[in-house]
Amino acid sequence: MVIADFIYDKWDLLACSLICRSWYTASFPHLHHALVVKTFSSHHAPRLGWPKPLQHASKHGLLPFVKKFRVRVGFYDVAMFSPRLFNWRTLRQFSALINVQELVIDYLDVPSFMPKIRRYFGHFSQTVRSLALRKPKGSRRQIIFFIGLFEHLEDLKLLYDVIYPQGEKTADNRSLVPSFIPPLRGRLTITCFGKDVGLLQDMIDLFGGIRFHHMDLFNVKGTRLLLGACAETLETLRLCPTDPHGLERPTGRSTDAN
Amino acid sequence: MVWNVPLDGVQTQTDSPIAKSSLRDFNLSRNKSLRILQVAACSIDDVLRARSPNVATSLLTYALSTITSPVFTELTAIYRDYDFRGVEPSWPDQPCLRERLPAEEVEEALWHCRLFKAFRTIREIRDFRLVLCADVWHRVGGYSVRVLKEAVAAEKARRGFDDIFPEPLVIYSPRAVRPKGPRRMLGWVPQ
Repeated sequence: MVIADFIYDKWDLLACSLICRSWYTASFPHLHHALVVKTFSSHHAPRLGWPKPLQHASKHGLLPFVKKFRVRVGFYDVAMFSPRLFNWRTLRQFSALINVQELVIDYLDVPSFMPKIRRYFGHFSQTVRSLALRKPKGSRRQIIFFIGLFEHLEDLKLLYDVIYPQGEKTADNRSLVPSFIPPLRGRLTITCFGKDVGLLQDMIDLFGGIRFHHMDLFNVKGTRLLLGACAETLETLRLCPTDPHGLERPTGRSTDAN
Repeated sequence: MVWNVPLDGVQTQTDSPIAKSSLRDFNLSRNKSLRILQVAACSIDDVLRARSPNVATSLLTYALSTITSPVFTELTAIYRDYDFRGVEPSWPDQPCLRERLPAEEVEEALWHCRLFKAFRTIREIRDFRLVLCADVWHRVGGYSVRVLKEAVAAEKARRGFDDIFPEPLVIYSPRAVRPKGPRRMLGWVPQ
C-alpha cells in the first residue's frame, strides 16, 4: 500500500526499494515498468541511444518486466524506426519484450518492415492493449495492417499530418488484410493536422466498425465519422476545440512536450 | 476570418463553410450512451472575453444542445499544467512550482471567475454536473487541486453557486512521471 503512493515518482520509488527486501520486491515491477529508447545516439549521452537501453535491460534480465515500451525520436535528429536499426542480436533482445502492454512508436516506417513485419512485432500481438503511433509512415492499408497485428488492442492513439496515398491501390496493398480484428473498445486519441479522413474511414471499414468508449479528438474533420461509428458505445468525449480544425490551443506556456 | 456564431443558439451565421461543417460535426444526438463531455478549460476562456464568442464556445454550446443521451450527467473542465500561473515548465523535467506574483494571482482569480460565469451561461443550455479536473503532472498535483479548490471557495464566497448552478467537484488525474535528467530520459535502469 505504501509503495502505491509513490508509483508516480520513480526517485521516491527507488528510495523505497532500498529499505528492505520486501519493499524492493514491491517496488521492482514499478521501477522497471517502462523502457524508453531513442532512435539516435546523442553525442551528449552516447550510451543512451538505440540500442543501448535495450542491451542494458537485456543484460540484467529486465526485458520481461517491461510493460510500457516507447520508441522516441530526438528533437533534431528524426530517424525513422525501421529494420535498419536491427541486427540479429538487437532483434533477439527486442523479441524478449514479451509482456509489453503499452507500445508507443514515433516515426514508424511501416513499409520498410514489410513483408516480414510479424517477425519484428509478432511477440507483441497477444499482450499489447494500448498502441500509440506518432507520425507513422506508410499507406493507409499498411498502417491499418500494423494496427491489426495486435489481437487484444483496446486503446489507440494516432498523431499524424497526412497519410500519403501512394500505392494505395496496388495489388500488394489490397492483399494486406489485417491479421486480427482488435476489439478497439477503450480510448481513442486522434490528433490530425491534415484534412484526410481516409485512414479513419478505411479502419472502420476493414475492422467492421469501432467500439471505443472514450474519445479524445483534436481533429474536427474526422469528428462526425468517429462519433457516428461509436454512436452506441461512446461514453466519454473529450474535445479541445479552439479553432475551426479543432486543434489544441497553441500556448507559450505549454509544458507538455510528450 | 470572423466567427459570428451566437452563444446561445445552434444556428450559425457565418460565411465560412468550414465553420458550418465543423458545427455539424459536433452533433451528439446519435450518441445515446454519452455520459461525460470533457473540454479543455483554456478553450472556454474566451467565452466572456470577447463580444463575439469564439468557435470553441460555439462548438461546446452546440454540442451540448444536441445531446439526447439519457445518461448524460457531467461536463468536465480539464485544467492542464499551463493553466496554472504558479507552474513553471522545465522540460524535460516535470514542471516545478514558483511563487506567483500578486498581479498573477489577481489575473488567475479573474480567469477562474470568468470561467465560472461561462459555465453558468453554458448550463442554461443543458443541465449537467460540473467537474473541475486537474490533469497535471504528479509534482504539481497538490498545488493544482489547492488552486482549484480556492477558486471554488472564492466563487462560493461571492455567492456564485446556487440551486441552478451548484458547487462543482474538484478532482485530480495524475499524469505519468516525466523522466528526470539525461539518465532517466532514456532506458532507465537502477544502479
